[in-house]
Amino acid sequence: MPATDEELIARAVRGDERAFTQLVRRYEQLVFGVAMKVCRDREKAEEAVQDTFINVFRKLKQFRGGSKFSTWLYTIVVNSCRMNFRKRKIDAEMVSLDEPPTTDDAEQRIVIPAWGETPESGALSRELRARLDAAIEQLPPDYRVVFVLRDLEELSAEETAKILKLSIPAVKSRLRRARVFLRDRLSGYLEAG
Amino acid sequence: MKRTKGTKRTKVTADCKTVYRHICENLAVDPESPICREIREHMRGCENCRTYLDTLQKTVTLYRLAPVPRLSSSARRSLHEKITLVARARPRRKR
Repeated sequence: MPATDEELIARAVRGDERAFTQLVRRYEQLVFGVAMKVCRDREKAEEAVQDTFINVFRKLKQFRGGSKFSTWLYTIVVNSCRMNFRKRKIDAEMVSLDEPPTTDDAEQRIVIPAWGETPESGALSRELRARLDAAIEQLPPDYRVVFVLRDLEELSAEETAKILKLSIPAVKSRLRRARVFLRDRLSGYLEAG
Repeated sequence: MKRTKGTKRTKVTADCKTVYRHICENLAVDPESPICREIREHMRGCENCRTYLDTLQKTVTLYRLAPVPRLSSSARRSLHEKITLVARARPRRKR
């Protein structure tokens, strides 16, 4: 039977390099997947993976096991991606996700166009994938990371709030804006014709 | 306003705004909760809200269907080499 995370962590803390390597192998794809979804750039994502596991190696003794090891990894990889965004000053180039005006007049002009059928698993066309990529790349990183953790990684609002050091209402609000932003960006392409 | 083919227009009310906010934040909320029952009741007669929920769910589904790239073997090798370097550079504990 494979060793549990707790067993590998305990052995790695005692200096067992092979145990640490096993932990890295177990989680490297998960960490890379999150980094790719957040960073949207392979090179940056690979850097984030390296930073994450080096930080984990250095701070493993501090991991108390109060939360899941994977939650701790999410926290570290997300912080690494956010540091990268700060370096690249990505936020300044992004569109604003402030709420639109909510006057009665504005409400009456809102129209929700219906979409046609979405493709089955594995059948996303190259064009649709490009649209999905373009839309999520325009989503400001603070909103993108909430969308990734909640909707793609399927973490709870509580876990997401803990990882991002946000309140649960802030997580919900960012998720709502992120979903609407992405939906609106895809709408022109997917509207039923 | 430009009309999209196949799209039925309905005036959006303040009630719809409340529904949008709620269903958007809680796509997976308990369907038997009182607020959900109220929302279901509203949605039965509101095509706009049904479309709103459907398009949000489809948005999430599409992103879940998108393939996640794999860590390349060269990046994996480089990661393990870097970790080995960091581990070797760490001062050994005295016994």
